[in-house]
Amino acid sequence: MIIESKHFGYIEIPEEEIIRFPYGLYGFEDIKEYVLLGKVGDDNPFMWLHAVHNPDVCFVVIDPFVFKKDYSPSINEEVLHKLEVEDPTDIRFLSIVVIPQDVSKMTANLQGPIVINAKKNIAMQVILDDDKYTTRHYILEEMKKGA
Amino acid sequence: MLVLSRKPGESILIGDNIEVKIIDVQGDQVRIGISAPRDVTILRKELMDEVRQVNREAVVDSSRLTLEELSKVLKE
Repeated sequence: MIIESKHFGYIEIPEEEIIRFPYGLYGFEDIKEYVLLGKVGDDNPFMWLHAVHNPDVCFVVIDPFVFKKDYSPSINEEVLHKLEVEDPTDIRFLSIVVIPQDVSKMTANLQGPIVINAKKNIAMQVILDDDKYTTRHYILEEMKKGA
Repeated sequence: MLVLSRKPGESILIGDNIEVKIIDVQGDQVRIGISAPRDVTILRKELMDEVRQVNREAVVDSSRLTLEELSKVLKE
C-alpha cells in the first residue's frame, strides 16, 4: 500500500505493517489505520505514528519506559479482549508526545497510552483511571528523576 | 437532554443492563454508583476531553522536525 506523508513523500508500506485502531484515537475517532515509521536502530526511542489515509495526521510517539522506568499502566481484561490479546507478552505501549516551540519542554501522555497487540497489529488508546499519571509528563524532567 | 430528579438511594436504568444510582449528596458533590457491562467504558468526561485536546495538540507537521533532533535533545 502506498501512503502519502509530508515527511517521507510517497512511501510503500507492506499491508502487514498497518496497525488497526478500531476505535480511533480520542479526537480522531474516524481514523482507523496508522503505521509506525522512522524506527532506526535501538538508540532512538521516538517514532512517527502516521495515519495511512491522511497525510496531515501524524504524531510523534515514544516508548514510555525509556523515560519512566517504573511506568506500570494497568490494563483491564476488557482492553485485552478488545485487542484480541492471547499472550500478554504481545502487548506494547506507546505515549503520544506534544512538541512545543521549545522542544526541551516536550511532554508525553502517560495517562492515555496507546496499547498495541504487536502480534496482530491492533491498537487502542486507553485512558487510565490512575492519579499517578497525567496527560502531560515532561520527558526531560522524568529522565532526570529516573537517572 | 432528559433531566430527572432523584433522591439518594434511587436509581435510573439505561437500556437493559446499565444502572446509575445516586449514593449520596454532600454540598455540591454527588456520589454516583454505576453498574454496567465490562465492555462499557466509563470515564470522567473532563478527562476524555483533556485527552482529545492533548491529541489534537500532538499532531505535528512531520516536515518541520526530525526524530534525530528529538533524540539529540534527550541525550543532552
